Amino acid sequence: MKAAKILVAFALFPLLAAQLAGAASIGVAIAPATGTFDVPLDGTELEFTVYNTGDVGSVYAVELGGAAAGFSSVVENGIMIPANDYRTFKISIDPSRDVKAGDAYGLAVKALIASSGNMVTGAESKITLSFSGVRTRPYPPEETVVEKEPEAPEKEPSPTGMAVAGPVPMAEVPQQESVIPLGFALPLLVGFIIGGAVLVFIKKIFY
Amino acid sequence: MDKKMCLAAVIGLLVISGIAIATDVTTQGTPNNVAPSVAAPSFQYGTLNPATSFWVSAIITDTNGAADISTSNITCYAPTGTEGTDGWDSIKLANSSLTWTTASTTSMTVNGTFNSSVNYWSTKSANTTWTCRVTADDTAGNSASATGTMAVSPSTGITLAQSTCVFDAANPGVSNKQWTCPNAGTRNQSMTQNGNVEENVTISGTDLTGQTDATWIITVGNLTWNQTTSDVPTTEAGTVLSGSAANFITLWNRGTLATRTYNITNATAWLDYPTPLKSQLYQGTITLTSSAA
Repeated sequence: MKAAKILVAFALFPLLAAQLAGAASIGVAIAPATGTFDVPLDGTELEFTVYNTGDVGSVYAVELGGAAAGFSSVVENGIMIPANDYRTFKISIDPSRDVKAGDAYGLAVKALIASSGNMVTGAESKITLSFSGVRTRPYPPEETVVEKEPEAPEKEPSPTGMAVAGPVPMAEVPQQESVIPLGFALPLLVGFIIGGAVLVFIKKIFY
Repeated sequence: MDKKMCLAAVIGLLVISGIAIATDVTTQGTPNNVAPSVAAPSFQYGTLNPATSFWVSAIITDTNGAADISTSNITCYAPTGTEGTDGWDSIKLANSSLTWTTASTTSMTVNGTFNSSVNYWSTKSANTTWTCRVTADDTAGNSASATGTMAVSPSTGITLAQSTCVFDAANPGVSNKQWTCPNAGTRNQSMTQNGNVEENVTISGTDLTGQTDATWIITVGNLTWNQTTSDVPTTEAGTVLSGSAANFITLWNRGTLATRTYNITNATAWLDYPTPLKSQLYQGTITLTSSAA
């Protein structure tokens, strides 16, 4: 028994020494964590983001599962995410033969660190799928697949803003160099009329 | 009409015309600098996941010329946030972080990209509608701005300070040997809530398998755990670990402070060495999983 004690101690101390040099934080987050997706019956894509919140790169496994028929046991392994980085996943869903408009199912997307010493963190997203529309795909449906995308896809800009006028400037006066012509024809006409009247007046007075 | 009448008419005409010519006035003023204007911002996403890269863009116009536009900044903030600060509900990009493109002789396009390595834009950022404001200044000190909104999705997550913890060595048959988590040199595993919603955390474990002779195992039932906020727990919680997920923390609030290290809790575990047991290194895995409450 004494020998066994020594052996256990010797077996553990080297591991302890090794981990002191290489220990690091590990973490994972996933978004959206909750919500409801309205899924057309002819298929759609759900987008999830998995984050590495640890301070070293880790390998992750993303698993899709849920109560809806056709959504179980879809796993993507070996996804390397650098520290403080993320990957976006598009999950394409083709509803099973049992799904009809108006049905709703729970869906879970789970991300786990696949290998990182003996502590593992995981995050799980719980989503409700709400089916709507009319099925246009042929029966039976295609397999549900998880697509790994290296980067979040670019999307078209979606201006959602409202313009707000800036403050009215105190000195908002346009550059100006204005000339105000009063014209020449009108004074000439007035001059003739007044001149004529003066002549008539002089004529009556003196003649 | 005789000569006198003609003379009087001409004189009258000249007098009136002279008055008219004298009223042609020319004025000149010093032009004042006009404030710029900012068009409604464009967003890369109308709805986005937190901590993912996104850009905000806007066109700034100045009738005094594009060169008159001097600086700009972009702020994004949740209803609870203080605009212009950095925190879990407010982030900002200064002029030095923005990119500029000339749109015309009187306008510039400004673009700012937020990403998870900048400021406090993280998985902990508020799950709500954010307002983003693009502000522009000109050389005369005039200012204008425009705002738009984006929606930030809920997220859930957890971070463990250490990836490996090691139980103290012991003889077979010895109980309650506590682990040490070497990164911090403590008996505790430090955990951080990294989501933006209230979370539940579950715990599960595997058997510890002999690393030299895998036919020997320490079953998971020999592990017990506790979570506590004290640094050095002195008593064993007595909660036995199993292969099925058990509640570890319920309704763990993300907190409202800006710091990322808010809402940390500690976990510790103990191991009973069964007997008989072959002397060798044993290793297993403990898994902690968070989900939205």
